[in-house]
Amino acid sequence: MSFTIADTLLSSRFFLGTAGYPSPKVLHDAIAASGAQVVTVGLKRQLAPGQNPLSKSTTEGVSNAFFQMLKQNGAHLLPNTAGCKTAREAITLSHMAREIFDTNWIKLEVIGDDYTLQPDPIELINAATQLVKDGFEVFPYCTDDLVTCNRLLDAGCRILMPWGAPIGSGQGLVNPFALRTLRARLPNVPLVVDAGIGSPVDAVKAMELGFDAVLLNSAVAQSHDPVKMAEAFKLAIQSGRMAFEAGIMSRQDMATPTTPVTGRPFLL
Amino acid sequence: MTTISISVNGLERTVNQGTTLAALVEQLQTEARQESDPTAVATAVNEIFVSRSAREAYTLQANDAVFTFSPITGG
Repeated sequence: MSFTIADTLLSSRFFLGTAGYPSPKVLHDAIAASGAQVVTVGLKRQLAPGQNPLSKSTTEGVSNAFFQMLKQNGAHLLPNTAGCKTAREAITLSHMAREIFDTNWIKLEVIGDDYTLQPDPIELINAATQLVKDGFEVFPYCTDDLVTCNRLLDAGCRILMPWGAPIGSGQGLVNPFALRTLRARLPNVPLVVDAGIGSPVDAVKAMELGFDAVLLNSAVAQSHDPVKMAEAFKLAIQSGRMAFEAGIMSRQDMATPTTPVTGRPFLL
Repeated sequence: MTTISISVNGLERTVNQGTTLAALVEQLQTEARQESDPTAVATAVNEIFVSRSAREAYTLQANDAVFTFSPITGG
């Protein structure tokens, strides 16, 4: 089950986001239940002094100390560039993230449309090109467009993270054909389905397509019991991967008898 | 003492001429009643990253737009 991504051997194919949990304890327990070894984190512009505490977090009480604790427990932090719309913004934010979280991994998000949060391919490629030169391991959040993905590889990305569906939409894999095409055309590139996963079934499907890992957040954080859902996804991702490795039977329209009987029991 | 006008996270602010970025970060943390900890934030000036080690050498100029970022949860 283990695999290598960015020269790092991982035994879990589940990357988990840390946003929107009811409390730091639930977040902590959900990460533990998920078995995830890669967790995404963010950076936020601080609010004006006097208006709010500087360390205000979307999950109250989660600070850098919390993330460093996760790191000490073996988790790999994957900071994102959420909110960026230009390569310039994303590059600056990536450098800030590298300093704060002490990692050269960056989940590169450069958004081109507010409604769908669809990545802007041009700005994304421009940012990736510069960041690779600056020594980053770029995990680009991209669409499932094959040519964009190829350009990202040309820019020096070693991993691709195409969307399954728009961020936070929970729609699952809206274009399995495109994902299947990516897998077929890029057999040696680590591919992670990032965004849009709603149910563990979606994660199973992504893994059955031969994707290397799944990154999700809302599906766990917004469930009624995030700790239980984290475990459900862990099992689904393991199950989907095992099914892919075992080889799924091909579909056919006709029935084929399963039990090796000799015709009808009493008709000679 | 001569002062200059800058902005910090979008809000205008007046600082003494010659103030370094490192001193500003310390001031901000004091105002927010946080312990002085240069590693708690990352900084950019005019959308360009200024590393922790470069803050002391960076003297703020009039109209500089300073941004400070801190870690949060993220997807």
